[in-house]
Amino acid sequence: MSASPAGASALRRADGIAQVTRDDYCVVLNLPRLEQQQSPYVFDGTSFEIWSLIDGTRTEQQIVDELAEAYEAPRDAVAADVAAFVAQLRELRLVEN
Amino acid sequence: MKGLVTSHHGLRPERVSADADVWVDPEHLDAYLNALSDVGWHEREASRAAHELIEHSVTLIHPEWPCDLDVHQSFPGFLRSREEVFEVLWERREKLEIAGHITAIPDRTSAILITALHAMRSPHQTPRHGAELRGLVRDVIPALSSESQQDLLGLATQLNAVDTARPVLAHVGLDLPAPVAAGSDSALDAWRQRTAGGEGRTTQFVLHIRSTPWRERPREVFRAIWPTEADFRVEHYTVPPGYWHGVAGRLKRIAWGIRQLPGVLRGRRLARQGITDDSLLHEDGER
Repeated sequence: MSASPAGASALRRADGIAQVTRDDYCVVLNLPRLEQQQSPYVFDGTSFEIWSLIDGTRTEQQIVDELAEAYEAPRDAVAADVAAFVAQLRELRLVEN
Repeated sequence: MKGLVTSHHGLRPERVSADADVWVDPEHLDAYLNALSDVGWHEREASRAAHELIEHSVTLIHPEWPCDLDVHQSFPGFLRSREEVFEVLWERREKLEIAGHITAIPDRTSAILITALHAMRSPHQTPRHGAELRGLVRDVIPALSSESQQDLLGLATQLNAVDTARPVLAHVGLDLPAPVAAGSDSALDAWRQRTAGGEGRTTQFVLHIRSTPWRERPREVFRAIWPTEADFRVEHYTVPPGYWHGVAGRLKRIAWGIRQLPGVLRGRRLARQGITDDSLLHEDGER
C-alpha cells in the first residue's frame, strides 16, 4: 500500500493505453479511445517528468512534493503545473484515480 | 513483422522505422482495413503502376501519424498460397510486448526467411538490404544450431521458398534439393527474373505485361511507357507543374527505363537458366 494522505488516492494510468518510453520523452496512445483520440501524445520536459511519476503509487500531492524537492522549485508553482497537466490527462481519460 | 521483430530476433540493429508492417489473415483483410478506416487511416494515393505491380500489401497513412502502415496479406517469395503461408506462420508465432501490449510476431526462423526474402526482392531499394542479407549469411546462419538449421530448411520447404531463398539457404550447411528447373513454376521464374533484374521497375513492368492477356498487352505496354500526366505526378511529385515539365519528366523516365534493359535481360537469362541470383551476397555487389 502506498502512503497516501487520507482522502487522496494514487493517480494511475488508464488501462489499455499504449506507450513507448525513451530516456527523456514518451509517446502515449489512448487505445481504448482510439476513435476519439486517433493520434499519439508526446510527453517531454515537464510533462514527461509528471507522467513518469504517475505509476499508481503516488497521489497528486506526492508528485508535487517530489518534483518541488527534486528541482528545488517553489511548491506552489509546481503544484499549479501538475494540477493543470493532470486535469488535461483526466479530461483525456489517460489517468484515473 | 519486420522492423521491430527483426531487431528483436537479433537479425539487424535496432533503428527507427518509417513504417510498420503488419501481416493480416487474408480472409480478414477487409475487416482489418475497415477497422483502421474507422480510426482515420486510409490508403495512400498510388499510381496505376503501383496498383498493378504491388498486390501483396496496402499502404495506409493517417494525417496525424508520422509513419505509414504496410498491411500485408501475403509476402513475395513464399510461393505457397497466401492462406497456407499465413496459417503456417501463425501457428509458429511468438509474443512480443510492444508499447505495453502483447503482440503476435513471427518466430525467429520465420523472421530469418522473411528478412532474406525481403532483402532479395528489393536489392537496390536500399544498400541496407544487401548488408542485412550478408549479415544473415555471415553471422546469423552459422550461429544456428543444427536443429534450427533443420527447422529453417523445413519451413522454407513447407512454404515453397527453398528456391526463392536459395542464396541464403545454401549457407545453412545442409544438403538442399536440386534447384527447380526453369519453366516448372511461373512464380519462381518471375521471382528469379525480378531479383536479378536490377533496380527500377522495368523488370516488374515486363513481368506484369507478360502476365496479362494478349489483347490487353498493347494498352499495358503503352501505359507502362507513357502514363497519364496525373498518374505520373503521383509518384514524381517534385516535377514542377506545367504540361511541358510533365512531358519532359516522362521522357526522362523512358530513358531511365531503357538504361535498365541490360538488367532486365540479365534477369531473364538467369531465370531461363533456373538460377536464383546471389550477387547481393557479395560486398561489391558484382552482378
